[in-house]
Amino acid sequence: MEEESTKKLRRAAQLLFFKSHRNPGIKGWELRKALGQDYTKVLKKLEERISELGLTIKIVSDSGELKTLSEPHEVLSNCRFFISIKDPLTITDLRTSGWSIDEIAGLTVCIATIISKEGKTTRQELEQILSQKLPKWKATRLLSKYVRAGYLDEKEDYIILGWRTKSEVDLENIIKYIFS
Amino acid sequence: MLSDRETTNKKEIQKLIEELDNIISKEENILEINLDEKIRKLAELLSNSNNLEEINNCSEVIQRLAVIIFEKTKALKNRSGILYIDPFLTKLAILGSDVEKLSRAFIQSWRPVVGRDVINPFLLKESMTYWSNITKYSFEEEREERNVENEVKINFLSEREISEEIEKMYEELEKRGGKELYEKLIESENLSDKIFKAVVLSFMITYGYAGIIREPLKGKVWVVKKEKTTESKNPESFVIVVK
Repeated sequence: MEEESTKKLRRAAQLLFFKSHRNPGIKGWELRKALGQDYTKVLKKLEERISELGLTIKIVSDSGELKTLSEPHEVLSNCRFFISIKDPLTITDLRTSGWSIDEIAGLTVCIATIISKEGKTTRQELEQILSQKLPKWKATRLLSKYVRAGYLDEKEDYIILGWRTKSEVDLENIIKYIFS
Repeated sequence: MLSDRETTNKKEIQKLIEELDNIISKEENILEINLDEKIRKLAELLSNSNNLEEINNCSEVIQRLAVIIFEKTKALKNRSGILYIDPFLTKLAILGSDVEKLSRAFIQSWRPVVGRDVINPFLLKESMTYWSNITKYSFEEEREERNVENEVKINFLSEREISEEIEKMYEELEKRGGKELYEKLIESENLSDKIFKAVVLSFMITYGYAGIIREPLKGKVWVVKKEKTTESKNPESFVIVVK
């Protein structure tokens, strides 16, 4: 019995840590299929273990809302489950994040602008704002990089927040810090 | 006895009720749902309704619309309360901030996803199973043409004489007037026979003994007999699912 539960725990960790799709994370229904009906119990146990390492399980719905493990399967089924960092990073952690300080600052500008424009803005507008501090070619390149990484999403003529911003960034907090 | 108009009206109202129930029960972003079309439809149905039951059903639609509008208002209030900030002020705040302040704002609000692109034991096991199940055929240096001889070589057709089978099927097609639905021609009691017939038929088509006529709108595929000397001038291939 205990062996079975350890096996499920390992499987859950594999599913959440290792990328099996283009984007990280896994859907609730996939977890249920792999771990069985009590998958939320297995995930709660995993959460306890990884919490000691400063990690947490994050559940995000398609519309970007954060959910918890106590919600029913009907709600969790289509949500995406990730493992993410639990506590805030420091500016020195940037060196290991793969992003430069310029790129992070540019992304912050884009996110704040999109939020202030009620969720969408044009590429030209973002390029124009970024170009006030960066060369034009760099602004264009950065925008494409943010879209590729999933932080922004390009829909027809507009740019909106991407799935990754919705999952990884506390939007209320970022605005608070910009205005502080 | 309901008139035609009443029956259609009743059906339309019922359909509208089901659509709205669907919206209410789903976990979608309610702000993205456009109700204009549904309200227009309701107005149309209501103006056509002249008995009590129809009017009563329309009131059911109104009740559901009210629930959705209430939910939309709640969501909008919630969202604007959290996130509404003045664009002009934001621009000023951005321009007044240095790179470090902006980065710090992001870092303090960022909880990056942790994930690895690695080969894991599970994937290794899966790939081993896959590797052992694929036939040698796929790895031959020079890809051999798919023909009867090769299929026989890889034991696919080892137990039957393919040319006899082609002949039999050609006669069968002739008996059926030279034209038959694909699925009827390969019809069989068990799946392995059905698949065998499909393979034979594919060779028959490749050799130019039969042709295919597709009717995409009706979802039908016809097999038509050709003279055995006929050669396909524009060879093409397409997939047919054998159920």
